[in-house]
Order: sequence, then C-alpha cells, then structure tokens
Amino acid sequence: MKSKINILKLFLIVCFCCPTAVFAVSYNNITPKLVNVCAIVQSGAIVNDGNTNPSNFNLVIIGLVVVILILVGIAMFAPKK
Amino acid sequence: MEVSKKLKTLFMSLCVILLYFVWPYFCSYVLSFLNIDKNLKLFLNLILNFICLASIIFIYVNDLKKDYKKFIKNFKSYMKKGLKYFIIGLLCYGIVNIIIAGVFDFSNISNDNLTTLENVFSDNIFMLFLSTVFYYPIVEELVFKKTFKDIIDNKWLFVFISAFANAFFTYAFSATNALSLIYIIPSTLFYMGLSYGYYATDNIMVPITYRIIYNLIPNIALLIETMLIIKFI
Repeated sequence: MKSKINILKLFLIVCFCCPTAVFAVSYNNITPKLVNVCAIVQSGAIVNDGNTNPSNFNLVIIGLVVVILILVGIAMFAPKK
Repeated sequence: MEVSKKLKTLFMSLCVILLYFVWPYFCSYVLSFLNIDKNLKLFLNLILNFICLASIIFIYVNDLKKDYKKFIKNFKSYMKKGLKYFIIGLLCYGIVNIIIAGVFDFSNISNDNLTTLENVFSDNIFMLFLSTVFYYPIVEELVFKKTFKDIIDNKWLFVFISAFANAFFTYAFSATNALSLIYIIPSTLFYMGLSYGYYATDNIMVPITYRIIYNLIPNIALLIETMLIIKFI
C-alpha cells in the first residue's frame, strides 16, 4: 500500500513537471537550438532502425569490437577482489 | 567468483549485447520483404523490438524478480539514493551542454540523435511514447548497465565504461558529422549519474525508473502540445 502511495506521489511529481516541459517544447518551435543547450526535453535513446548508413555502421562496429574486447579483458585479467 | 561462473556470466552478457545490436538488422531484413506502408512497418518493428526486450528480460528473469521485490520493499530509500546521483548527472549534462553551446558554433553541430528520433517517429507520437518510455529505458539499462556490472567489479571502471558505451552508441548510430560526436561527453556524464545510482543501490530498477521518468516528461509534454495544436487548428 505504502509503495503504491509512493508511486502515486512520483506520478504527481511527473505531472507537475509537465507544464514546464510543455513550455520548453513550445519554446523549441521558436528557438530549436535552445533545447540543445538546455537538453531537458530530450529523450535519450539509441535509435537503431536497422538501416544504418555505412560510415555510422563502421563506427558502430569499431565501438562494439572495443566494448567486447574491454569486457573480455576485464573478465579474464582483472585482479580478484 | 569461480572461473566457470565468470565465463558463464561473460558469455551471457556478450550474448545479450550481440542480440541487442544484431536484432534491428534482422528485423529490418525481415520487414523489407513486406510491401506495407511506413506506419505499419514502424508498428511491426516496435512489436519485434518488444520481442527482443522480452528475450533479454527472460535471460535475466531471476535477477530482475529479486531486484523488483527489493525495490518495492525499499522504494523510498532506493529512490532517494538514486535521485541524488540522477540530479548530479543531469546538472553536469546541462552544464557541459551549455559549455559546448558556448564554445562551438551551432550551425556546424547539431544533436543528430534528437533529429533522428523525431524523423523516425514523425506523425507517430503514440509509438514514440511507447518506445521512449518503455522500450529504450528498459533495454538500454539492461544491456549497458546490468551486463556491464555483472562483469566489471571496480566501481569507477563500471560507472565510466557503461556510461561511455551507452552515450557512444546513442550518437554513433545517428551522427551526421564527426563534430556532433561531441555530445557524447555530456551524455556520458548523465549516464554516469544513473550508473553510479545503480552501483550504489545494486538494484537495476533504480536506473530504469529514473530513465522512464526522464523520458516520460518530454513525452507527456509532446502529447499535450500535439493535443493543443490539434485543438487550435
């Protein structure tokens, strides 16, 4: 019950924040670059629609290989705690 | 950790990462055979994305169940702890963005990730809402935080690598020029806040909840704005 009340409180906070965000989005229409500065109304997401252009694809592959190597390296050679 | 257990964890984490990166290309290949309109394609793509999410959740189902129970039990303390680091991350993000705006000419660089997001989901606010509020936060936190934390024991190494990887791929997929990759820096700082929150609470529900809230605010705003535009037109 208590957790449900907390979730409700959280939802109310989010709803309270919305008018501010509406203002920011409206303002975005006038000065789009300002939102880049404030960066408050951005939804962070990795947008991969499966049609990556070749130059970005190369960058992604390089990044992925580096990430895999780092993870394998850490798992294999990191000192035990 | 035993060697065999360590190898199993590593194998599982790599499978999750590869599934996450390969799945969209598989979906795109399958959907390319269907002669359907853009909206329906986007909708099918969304369903396929949720299948990918369900698979990743299935892989971690036991850990997620445990974390969920703990999260519900200690909701207030977890959220309080996470909020501190989330706000620090968000503040750093804003400050660095302002510095970037001050240093660079905006006509040369743009936030391509935001533009791509708007282009992909243009006229599909409902799908944008479903994707950015439910799909992206959960899948990204599982892929970039849960898998990384399972492998990396060191606190700062985990915080930095997981945050940087998340920020890097956010822009690597959509960057139109090398200069726009500069946005990786503020994004890394933002994700570091979430990663630190996850490390401090040891509960994946904390970063997921904050990402959902963070993405929920602009989405509700966008929905309200769209409704207002429709009303006034």
